[in-house]
Amino acid sequence: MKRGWNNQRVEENLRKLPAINDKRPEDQLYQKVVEGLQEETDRKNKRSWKSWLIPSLATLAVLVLIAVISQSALRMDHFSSQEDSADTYSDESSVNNDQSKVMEEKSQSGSSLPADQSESADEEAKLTIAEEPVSKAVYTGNEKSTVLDVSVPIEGTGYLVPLAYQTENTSESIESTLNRLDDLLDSEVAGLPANLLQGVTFEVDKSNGTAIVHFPAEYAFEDKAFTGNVGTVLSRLFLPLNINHVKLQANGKQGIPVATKGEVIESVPLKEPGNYVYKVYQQQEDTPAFLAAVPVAIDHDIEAAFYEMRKEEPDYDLKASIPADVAFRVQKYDKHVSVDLSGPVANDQKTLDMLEAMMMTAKSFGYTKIEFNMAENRIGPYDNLEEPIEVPDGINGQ
Amino acid sequence: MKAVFQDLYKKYHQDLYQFLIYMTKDKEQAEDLVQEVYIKVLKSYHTFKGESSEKTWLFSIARHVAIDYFRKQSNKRKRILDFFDWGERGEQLEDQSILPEEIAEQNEEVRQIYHCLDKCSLDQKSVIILRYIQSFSLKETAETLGWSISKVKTTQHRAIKALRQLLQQEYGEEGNIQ
Repeated sequence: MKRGWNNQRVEENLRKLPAINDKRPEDQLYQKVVEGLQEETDRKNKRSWKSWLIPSLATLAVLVLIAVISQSALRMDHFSSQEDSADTYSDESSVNNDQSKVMEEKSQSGSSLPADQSESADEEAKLTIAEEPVSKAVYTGNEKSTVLDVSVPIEGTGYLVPLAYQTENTSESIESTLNRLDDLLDSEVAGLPANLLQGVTFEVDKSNGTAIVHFPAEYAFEDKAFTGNVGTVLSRLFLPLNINHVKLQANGKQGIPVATKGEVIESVPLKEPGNYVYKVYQQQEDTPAFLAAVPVAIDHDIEAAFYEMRKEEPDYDLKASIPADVAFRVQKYDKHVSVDLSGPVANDQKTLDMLEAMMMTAKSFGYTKIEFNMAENRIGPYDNLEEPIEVPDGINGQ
Repeated sequence: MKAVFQDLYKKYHQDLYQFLIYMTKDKEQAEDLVQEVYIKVLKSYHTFKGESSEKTWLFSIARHVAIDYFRKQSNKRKRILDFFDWGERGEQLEDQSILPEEIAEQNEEVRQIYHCLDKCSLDQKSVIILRYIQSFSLKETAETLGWSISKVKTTQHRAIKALRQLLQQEYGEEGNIQ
């Protein structure tokens, strides 16, 4: 007899899943574990050996460099004094000139050593920055596409990691992308906090600017991550799509229970989110980095916002996006901001993250273009930094 | 060190291996990962303060080892897809593992469940394995995952619902069982 899948049948079959045993002998496994531990210890020792070797070699190189430069400087002094004496004592001029030629040659050959060293240092620098930085910005590039901002809250702080999903700008396509979010985003694997919209499904109708958000029956509505962020997350998602009315449903019924208010609410009022600055979010050294949006109580002063971006917040795994040793000067125009940057900038991930964090912050403050004046003319995909750049349509492209 | 290993092996080894093989669905990977778990455990055994039970401490390490594995796999897969621009066809890269004989011997319904388990999210899969296959209590599951008991309940409920929907999509409303 056939019967449909229901929860009970699923649970019964889950309990029937068999035990799968490891058939390797215990001693064999222990041997492998011991070898693994030994390898780790060796790797650690090798690392610690490297950790003192590289600074030692660098110190040695500097000492050699100083010795060579000071030696050649001494010889240069000696050479000029020889020339002086040649002028004074003409009888000895030919001998002294010969000597001075030798000195000159020596001095030239002496000066060639630092040049070689600086070349090899350049080579090393090229090797270390050879990896091209990866942009986190998303530009749709055409009218038919749009970017969905699915923001993942960082605990109950109001801080968010926005994720950008590009899709066609139609109700069907937006709805389809949103309803595939559970498949597209495994926040734990991605190195992100839990996704507020996990298990949630959507109905989108752009023609009348409405959306229906269905929450599953067991959704934790009392959770602080939900109560503190749901309005902002839905506003950031829907307002840019010109959807202004969002109805809420739980378990197929109108409205969701809000324990803190002791009532059922049927729709969530959307409002323009305030201003944000962007910092670098990274849970661990080996997990991917994202640009996170941090709300700030700053209204128009984008320079003050950029200063905020220098602050680290380790409690929330947030790193400064503008390094302390990079100085900036800001000039504001109507919808355009110009930033002079000085300090250690290069075509690397750190600088690219800084520029894109500044672009997103500028966007949050209402600017549409940003111009960077700095020593480098190309950082990542931005190959003409002399020209103003349009702010991105989204950040942390997925 | 050997005495600690022997004690842990005797008490938890088959359960640990089982957790990892259901997480990864790959015998060789599970063998490598269980070895990695022991390496991590033996390295940090002296730091175990007994604030949680030894069992949940061990399984929480196993889960993090599995998550690291999935993260590396996910990056590797993304690199391959980016390189070849396979787009949708990339989905075909999934689940190439050989069915373990213990599963192959089961009836079709159990095999279908095993197949669909892979399509649940990592959180859902962890809860299902701990609760239904390892028979962990709600408290043990919450301790292992570092969650509240209510989050375990919610995720478990969603996981069953997701599995049911997946089974319906893959095998139809009735399943294939007579």
